[in-house]
Amino acid sequence: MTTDTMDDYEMNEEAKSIEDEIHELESEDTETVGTPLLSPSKSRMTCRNVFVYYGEKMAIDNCSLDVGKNEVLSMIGPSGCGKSTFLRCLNRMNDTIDICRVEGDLKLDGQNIYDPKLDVVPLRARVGMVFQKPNPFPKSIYDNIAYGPRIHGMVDNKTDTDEIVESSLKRAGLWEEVKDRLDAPGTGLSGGQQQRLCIARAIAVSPEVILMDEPCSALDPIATAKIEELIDELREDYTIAIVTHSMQQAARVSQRTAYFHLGKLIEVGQTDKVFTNPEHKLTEDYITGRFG
Amino acid sequence: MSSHTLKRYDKELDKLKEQVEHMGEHVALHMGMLLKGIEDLPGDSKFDEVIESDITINGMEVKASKTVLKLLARQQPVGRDLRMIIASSRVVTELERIGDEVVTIARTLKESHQHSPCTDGGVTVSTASLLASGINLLERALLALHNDDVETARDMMNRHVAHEGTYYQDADQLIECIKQNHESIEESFSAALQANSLKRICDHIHNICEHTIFLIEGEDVRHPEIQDEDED
Ligand SMILES: Nc1ncnc2c1ncn2[C@@H]1O[C@H](COP(=O)(O)OP(=O)(O)OP(=O)(O)O)[C@@H](O)[C@H]1O
Ligand SMILES: [Mg+2]
Repeated sequence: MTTDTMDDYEMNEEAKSIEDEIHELESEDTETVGTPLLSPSKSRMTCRNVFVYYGEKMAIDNCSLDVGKNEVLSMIGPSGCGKSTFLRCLNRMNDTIDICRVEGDLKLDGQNIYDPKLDVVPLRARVGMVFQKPNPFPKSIYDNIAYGPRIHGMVDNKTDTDEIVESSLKRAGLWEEVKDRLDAPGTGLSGGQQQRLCIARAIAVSPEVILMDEPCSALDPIATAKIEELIDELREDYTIAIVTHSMQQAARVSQRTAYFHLGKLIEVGQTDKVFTNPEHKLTEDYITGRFG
Repeated sequence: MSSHTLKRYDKELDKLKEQVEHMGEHVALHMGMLLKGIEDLPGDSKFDEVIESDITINGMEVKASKTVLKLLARQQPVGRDLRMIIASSRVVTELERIGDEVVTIARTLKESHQHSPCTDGGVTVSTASLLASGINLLERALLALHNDDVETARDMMNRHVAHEGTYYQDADQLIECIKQNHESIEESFSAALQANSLKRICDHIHNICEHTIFLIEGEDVRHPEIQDEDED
């Protein structure tokens, strides 16, 4: 049993009801319908009243959303609605965009990730990211995985490095396909293999959260199915937030679904609820293909 | 409801809706035909017609099921679309079963030619009277489905087609009457079969109302005693 579930067990009834009260109070100041917020014992990341601007233009308008432990959260919505922008807030990737400004309260395990004193390099290891286009480094398969653990000082000898490389590739379901050519360049793999290599690279530094921005959009159905299966397995150990344009993919892999529209978070709920009986008309229109 | 970006999707959904409605009308006609047969007794030509027309109903079920399958496979429906398709598929099954019960009644009448109304405490009930109110209830249930009228569906479930409802009470009265009044075993048996089929018809109308509520509210009201413990 993990410590988290132990905590849940030990929490007495009184404490629970107080927690629920706080939860309800907080829910009231968001316009989002459904259940954007989770109880503290269940959430890994908490985001409150987040605004994002590109120069003068507002791209995220007061969104509050929690990402649960051991859950896959999918983010859906029309192009330009702010999914990628919101996702990038979660590991401060927006810092790399000059004109981008993020406001709000974003925490990982209760720690403010926008604390000026916080070093973003370890943050980005704790909150890893996988992009739409597989982007292996122009290095060997082995080095693609070993790079992170080395720069984060997690390994200092070959045996440990070998072990992390092997276990990460196994975890990403790629080991069998590459174990005999670890010295070959990562860029020489197929698209689906490259994407699993990128997932292995993210896993290698033992993240708590993995962010994925349309990770399957360049992949065929078989490679997509492998990634989806991997996401489902990874959920046991990690928290995953995934942006996807495929409604079916969101329905298949996630436990909760968040629907964004024009920078606003419209609805968040259990995925089966959102896809069978969404509360908001905008959500209904979008998921059923009645948009625009 | 606004239309889909993909026009063909709308067409397929409209087609399913039409198929269900058309089948509903046909089943109501089928019941009407049986009623006419009872009125024409002792002639029994209508009963053969009723028995034969069941083939048409079965054919309609097959066609609607095909549309359902095609929609599920090709459009991967979600939200209200998904509920509409599931509800349609269920309603079609209920309608087909109503058709079967109508045939059962027609068969017993064809063999026994019995149809004696029962009077009890001033109220007369008979297979014919129950059938007439059954047609009325079915038409109202289908209209509620057509109009997204969840209130009527609920009201019908509570007042008429529930086990405590008016229709069931009449059917019970009919059975009670049969027990007391009919002399020959064969006669009682045939009358009891009819009453039983009439009750089943009522159950199917009840279910159609449940499917209507599911379609509109997304809530499965079929078995309130079962707790939802599904974990993802
Ligand atoms: N680097 C940037 N500079 C200026 N504006 C940006 C930048 N990145 C995004 N935007 C704007 O912010 C809004 C949200 O963009 P974002 O990329 O988050 O949308 P998205 O939901 O991920 O869309 P898509 O589904 O097309 O990837 C858009 O209006 C976009 O034009
Ligand atoms: Mg994007």
